[in-house]
Amino acid sequence: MYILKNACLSIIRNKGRNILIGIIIVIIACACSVTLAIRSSAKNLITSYENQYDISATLEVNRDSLMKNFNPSSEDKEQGRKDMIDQFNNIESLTIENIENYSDSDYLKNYYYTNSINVNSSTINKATSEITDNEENRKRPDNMQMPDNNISQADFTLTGYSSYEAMNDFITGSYTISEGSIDNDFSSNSCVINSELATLNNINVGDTITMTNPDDESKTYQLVVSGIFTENNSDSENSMNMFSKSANTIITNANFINNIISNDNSVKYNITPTFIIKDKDSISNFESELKEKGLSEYLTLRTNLDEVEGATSSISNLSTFATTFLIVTFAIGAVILFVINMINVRERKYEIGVLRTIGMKKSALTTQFIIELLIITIIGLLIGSLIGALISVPTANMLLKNEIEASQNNMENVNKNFGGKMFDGNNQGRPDLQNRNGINGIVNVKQVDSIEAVVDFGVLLKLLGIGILLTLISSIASMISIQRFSPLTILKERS
Amino acid sequence: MIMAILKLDNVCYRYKDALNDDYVFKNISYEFELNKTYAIKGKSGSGKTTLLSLISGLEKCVEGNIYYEDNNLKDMNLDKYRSTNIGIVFQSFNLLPHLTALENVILSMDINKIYKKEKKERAYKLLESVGIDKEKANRRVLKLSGGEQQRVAIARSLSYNPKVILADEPTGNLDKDTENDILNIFKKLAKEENKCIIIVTHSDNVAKNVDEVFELAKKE
Repeated sequence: MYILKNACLSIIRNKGRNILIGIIIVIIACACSVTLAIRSSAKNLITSYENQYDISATLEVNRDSLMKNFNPSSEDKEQGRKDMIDQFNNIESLTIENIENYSDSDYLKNYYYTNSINVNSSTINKATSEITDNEENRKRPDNMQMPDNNISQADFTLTGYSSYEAMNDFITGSYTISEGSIDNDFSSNSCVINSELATLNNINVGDTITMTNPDDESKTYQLVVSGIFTENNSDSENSMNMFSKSANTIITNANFINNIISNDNSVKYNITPTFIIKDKDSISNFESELKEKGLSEYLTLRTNLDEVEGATSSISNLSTFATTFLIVTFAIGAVILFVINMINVRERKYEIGVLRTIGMKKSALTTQFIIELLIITIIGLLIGSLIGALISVPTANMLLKNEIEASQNNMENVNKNFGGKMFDGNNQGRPDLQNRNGINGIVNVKQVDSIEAVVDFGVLLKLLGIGILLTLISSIASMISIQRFSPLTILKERS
Repeated sequence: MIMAILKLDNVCYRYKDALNDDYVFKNISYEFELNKTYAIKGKSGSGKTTLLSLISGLEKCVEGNIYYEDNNLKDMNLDKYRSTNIGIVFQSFNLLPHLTALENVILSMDINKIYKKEKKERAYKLLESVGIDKEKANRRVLKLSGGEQQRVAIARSLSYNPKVILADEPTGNLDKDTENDILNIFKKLAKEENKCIIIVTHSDNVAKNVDEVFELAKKE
């Protein structure tokens, strides 16, 4: 107890020396609290952002795998090309059973899918600018993404969604319901249709439309229109067309299409799954699991990890910068404190000599010196963290602003490299570049542009840890000196 | 027969870096008793202060032994010995300047852990016994005169009631009147408090006023 009392008296009575040490600790604590707050907030922000934007994955054709057998320098180049096309056409289409099998995984949070078939109709006309509507002019309304061997050509695409989450066009705002609603019963026979198709055929909400199997007109499917949607996006590819791209798309639920498929094995369908992966560490595990479950070598898992990470890249950079700054501050702080403490001990040699002469043990004396420094450190840390708390938010946002500007400049530079028209802000650039890390990802997922750096309890605990570590490091000087000094020598020198 | 509190038995000392036969002093044997005042006299370089350092346990003798109440210092915890059995008074007082006179005395009590209660009252009494009143007791030691600081140093050395007081030129920085005051305090302590007072000094006045004088001859 007397050691603590003596330490406190020493601090109070030697203000000048201790204020100097205190100021240095305040500066170190301030810098550390700002960097710790930024680091901690950046980490939280990245985690919450990654939670907010699920890591989703879908299956797509593995073009690299297809291309690797093609040798452009071989003599029979045409044959090689045909073989490659055969390989592509022989890729087995995904089935609902496949999707359910793949989705039964511990690495997934959820899954959903869209299921499409082509249909005709005996009661409604398709939206087309063609005057004659013969078989030859019938085109598939959309480019099918997956191999769809012998899938029938038809007027309409009937697309079924397994859940609301699967309806990405509605989530992103590409489609909006202008009349009626989407039925929340995902096993009903309701549908929503494009407003252009509705106008063209005078269809209202509540009307029933009849679709037919393009290969067998006798097979009909009745759908009740529960809503009418409008397509908001007009992409450059479709801008000169009379009707929007989705004009001939009829949207229903996946169960309705599953029933059609299960009742008629001849119906060709195209299924696109979306897997919601638990976290980024689970991606490779899930990929391995898919291979074990027999996923074709020509199909591959594609995730939106780049987009999600790209949106937080500025924050990650800031966090890395903060970590580096923290290490540098800590190292410099430790050196400065060590040196000051060494000078301090030399200055207090006489005191050490007197206390040792009157019988104070070396261990007690060392403890007193450490307590003194610890008290000053804690006070310095409190003041420093308070100042740090006040300046961490503007500092973080200022640094983040620089990071975002750098990121945007980088985008513009890449744009210029491609002739200046590559990225037009509507994510309509070259398809082969659309998913490159940090380019269109920034457009797809909202860029983080502010940070709430908070000096919370966790930060204070870390600061305390840093403080204790700094105290111990800088106390080494006093410990060594106390062990080394002979009290008689000190007092003789003094005399 | 009066038992010696301190016994020097063929004590020799040489500095660590000195040659093997280059002793500061050699084969000193002497006995110190309670209730007496002693003066260790000798010319500069004769090893007076070194002898005091050996007795106080600040240094260890190269050859020979020192006994405190028949216990060899070599076998004792010297920190404890210094904080319990021996009180030391220096020429330059060696007080802690950032503390008051009272705090200097209390700190010494705290270190030896003898008194747990009423430390303040005891410290005031000790200071009063050496002529420091309450008002002066609460002053920082640097605001006291040399004589007053030496009184505080004596009070501090008495704070844990040691049987032996070692004083290294305690009056060396003081005027004659103050020297006599300090000597009277020491004599009073020896006679009334049954202490053994050992004073290292150059002063003839001090030598005249003690019970025994031990002269250290300078080596040839």
